[in-house]
Amino acid sequence: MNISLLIMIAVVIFCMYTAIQAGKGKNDKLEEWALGGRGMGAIITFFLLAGEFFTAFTLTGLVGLAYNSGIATLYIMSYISIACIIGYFLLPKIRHYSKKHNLISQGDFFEKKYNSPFLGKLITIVGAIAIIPTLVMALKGMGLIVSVASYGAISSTAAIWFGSIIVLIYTLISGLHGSARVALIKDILLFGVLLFLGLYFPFHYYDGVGSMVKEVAEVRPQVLIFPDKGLSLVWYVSTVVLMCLGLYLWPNSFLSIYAAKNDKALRKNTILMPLYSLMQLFACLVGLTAILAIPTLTGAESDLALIKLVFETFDPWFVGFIGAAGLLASLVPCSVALITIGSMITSNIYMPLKPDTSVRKQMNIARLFAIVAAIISLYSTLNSHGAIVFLQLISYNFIMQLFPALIFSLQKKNFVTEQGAISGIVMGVSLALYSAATGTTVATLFPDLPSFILDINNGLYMLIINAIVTVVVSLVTQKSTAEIKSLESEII
Amino acid sequence: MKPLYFLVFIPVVAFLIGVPLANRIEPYVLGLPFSMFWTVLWVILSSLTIFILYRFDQHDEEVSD
Repeated sequence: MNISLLIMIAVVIFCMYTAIQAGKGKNDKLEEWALGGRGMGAIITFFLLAGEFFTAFTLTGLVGLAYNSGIATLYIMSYISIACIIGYFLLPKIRHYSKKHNLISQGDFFEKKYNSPFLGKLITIVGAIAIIPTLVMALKGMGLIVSVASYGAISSTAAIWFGSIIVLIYTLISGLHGSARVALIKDILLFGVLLFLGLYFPFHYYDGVGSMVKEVAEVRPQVLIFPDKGLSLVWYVSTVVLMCLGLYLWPNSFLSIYAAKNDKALRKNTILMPLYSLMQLFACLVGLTAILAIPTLTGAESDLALIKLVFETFDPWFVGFIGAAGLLASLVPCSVALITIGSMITSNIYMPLKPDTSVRKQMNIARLFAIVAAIISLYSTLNSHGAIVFLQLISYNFIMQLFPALIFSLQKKNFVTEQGAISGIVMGVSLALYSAATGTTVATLFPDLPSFILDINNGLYMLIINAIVTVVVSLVTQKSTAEIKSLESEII
Repeated sequence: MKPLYFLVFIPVVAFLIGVPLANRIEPYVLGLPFSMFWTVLWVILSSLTIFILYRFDQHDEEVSD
């Protein structure tokens, strides 16, 4: 047992305790357990959403990306900024509708808007398939960070087991109240650690950010500007366009939006979130420093750039806090994801079968599904095989497919029909599946096209095809429903 | 659409068209290469834009709450 492991354990126990305290005596129905009774203020909603956007990936994969591709890391804060501008208009609309109709899940939203229980179920299934891989990734990332930060005292498998059990316990007991409390602690720790390291490393190894960057410009100038091929400007623009539409489409984001007390809370959120995403600039600075300080990392090793740099510079107790930040940054999204899956399956799949379930029993059913989701995720994390890697590739493309149906449903006069929305989503999801299963991309279909076309994010094509199908099918079915209605009235 | 809402196009354009135009290392600003400085600047100005909307927008839907 070393000091860094002790610190991680202490932080986790403290978080578990505060999480359980936060939910004490509050959970008596599903609306309370899953949505915190729709009473979350601006600050808590902010940390819930931030908990989903800034996960342990910020400490590992993002620093790795900065190490390999430098400026490419800034695409995330770019799309978060644009997404927040969209969110300023979008989020209050979603919250209003959910409050008015007492919605619990994302599926409920689409079901009500399109008056289609089938669409609600489809959205629920697509959402669940997209969330499980993110849970698995979070657990894997946590295992890696904890085992490295404990200097190997605890294996990655053991860390994943302990982490899953802890997150499951406090999630079952406290629901969203607990997640929100841990999210707060996690973000203070994660932001603090990144801000400190992002400034400390350049000053420790060089005379500051400026001289560190100049040094990088000497050695590897290509990481400071977007290249002509690969992660090029075309890639940047197309990816930012695609991702900014998808930020709030996740079922777990819907949950956090429903949980907000009022519109003000959500609007304030969108003001602060771009500023908060600047945390990633500091992750990028750590990655750039690592290029000079430890230039030999290759492949997956580069994801450990931050922690390796910390090893070389700091004492074990500090390493413990990095591990704790990574640990919490995985537990928070896991916790919200488990609540989301539990409540959405209860609300859209279980309830239609047994509509007379009491509110108390609904909550317990949701808890049961959360346990099932945790077991599936734990199993897939420990027995990593092709299927889960495959699902990770498609999860964002799956979620993106909800965009056309959502946007059309918010218009005052929505011409999109139930059939249109369903066809569009099925089409988009099938394309995403097909593309991932066969490795088909625009580049493999038309290899002779110039690289500025090949670098376009393929998800954008899927989304456009989805939107076209949605509109065309809606126009056709709208006409036929109108005809049926006029026929009916003639008969009468 | 309210005239105020047209403000939101400024940061969007600054990212999607501005970043490709600002894609160079020099001049350095605040120690950052120009490409990175430009992106960071517009992240901050996006927050400011949303704040201006928030400050001057009439939140009529709030009334129905």
